[in-house]
Amino acid sequence: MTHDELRELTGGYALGVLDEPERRAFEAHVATCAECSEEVRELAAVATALALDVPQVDPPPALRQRVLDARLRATRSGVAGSPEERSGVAGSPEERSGVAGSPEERYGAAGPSEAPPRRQTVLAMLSAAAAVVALALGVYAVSLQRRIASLEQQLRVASDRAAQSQQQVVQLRAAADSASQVRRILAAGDVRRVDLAGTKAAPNASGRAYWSATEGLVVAFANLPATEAGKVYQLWVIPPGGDPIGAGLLDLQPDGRALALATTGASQRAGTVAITLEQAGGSAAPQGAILAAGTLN
Amino acid sequence: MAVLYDRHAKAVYSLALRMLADAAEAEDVVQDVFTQAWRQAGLYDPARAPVIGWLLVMARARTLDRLRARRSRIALAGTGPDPATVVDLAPGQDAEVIGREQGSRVRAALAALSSVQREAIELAYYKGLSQSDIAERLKQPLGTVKTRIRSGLLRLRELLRGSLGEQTP
Repeated sequence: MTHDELRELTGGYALGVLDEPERRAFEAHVATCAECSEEVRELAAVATALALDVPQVDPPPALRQRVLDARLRATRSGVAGSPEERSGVAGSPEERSGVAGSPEERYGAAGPSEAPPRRQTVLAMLSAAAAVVALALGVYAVSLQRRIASLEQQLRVASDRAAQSQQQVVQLRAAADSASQVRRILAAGDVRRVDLAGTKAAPNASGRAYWSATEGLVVAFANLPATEAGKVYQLWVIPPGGDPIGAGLLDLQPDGRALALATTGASQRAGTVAITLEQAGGSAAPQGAILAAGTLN
Repeated sequence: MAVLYDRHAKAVYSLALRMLADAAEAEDVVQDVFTQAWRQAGLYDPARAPVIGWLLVMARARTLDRLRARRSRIALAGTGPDPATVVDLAPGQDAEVIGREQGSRVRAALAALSSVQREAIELAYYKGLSQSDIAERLKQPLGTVKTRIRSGLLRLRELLRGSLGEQTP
């Protein structure tokens, strides 16, 4: 339901006559809507004032005794005293002397302070009703606050998970992009294969490069020695008569294999393909010795 | 307890009688309310709210319980008059009206409502009919009933606020 639709329910709620599903929907709404909550507070007070708009009729005198007798029975069975009694109101001399007479007379005899003008009663009832509603809303607000805290916690956990998932998606997308580029290189009409041999520094190492002038360069290595901490293998393309061009870092697997997809700028040039061991992050120009190399003709 | 009864029994009885239109049942409500008030006195904080408001809220709740029980008995039996249509007490019976001389502000405010607003509010407050019950009874769309109840109460609020406002020092 929309705010406007729910707002139509403030009157029915204040009178306590909403149907069950509406009542639930309204309570859920009013907890978060200051406008509706203020309105329902005021209307509930007005609703209680309606109790005054009835013809005032004295109850039968015998009823008084019945009610008081019932109270005495309750006292004998050990129910605690009322605040009124504890505060001594009920023990007024009037009461103790057992003055008889109609409630009307007693009402009048009690004096002006005991018989508040009707206007005060209206005010009193308005504030009584407001207090009841405020109390109920207060309790509801506290439980709502707890629920919000718990939902916020769940939201944080969910956000963390979403961030992780997002990161995984990025990684998977990168992997998929690489795979698709490798496939394009291998399928290219101008693809050429070059074998790389390990140097003295890594005699067992070997590699195989596939190069396409249009699609790029991919190199697979095997039997590369494990790197020391802080070191990384870097791929280079060395054009004939030119300086080595950094072509990216190798992602070395524990079993000594690595796959390198050359960065675009480097792969457009034919020449020698080589790897060196460099400081983590790679170098602008090779610092370490060449571990494996092969030349495109 | 006797003081409490003497001060407020009349208001409680009058409300129950107006709603139930049955003196014996209204007396039962008075007894229920004061017994409940006695039992729950520990829960009641006189500093927070005047006792009359508390008693009348209880009185209406107990009375609505009885009205609903009555309605479901009749629904089961499938006969008899609908209690919600029972004719209210004749005006002559409020000979002892306090409010008359005092000039009941609430009554004056209610009288200022349109008759359809007053009708809907009275069915809801005094009969405890749900908005859909009222819609059915008045053969009006539910939305119309909701609007009448809300706009009527909003109008009452304005009227009572004005009347209370000018009296407040």
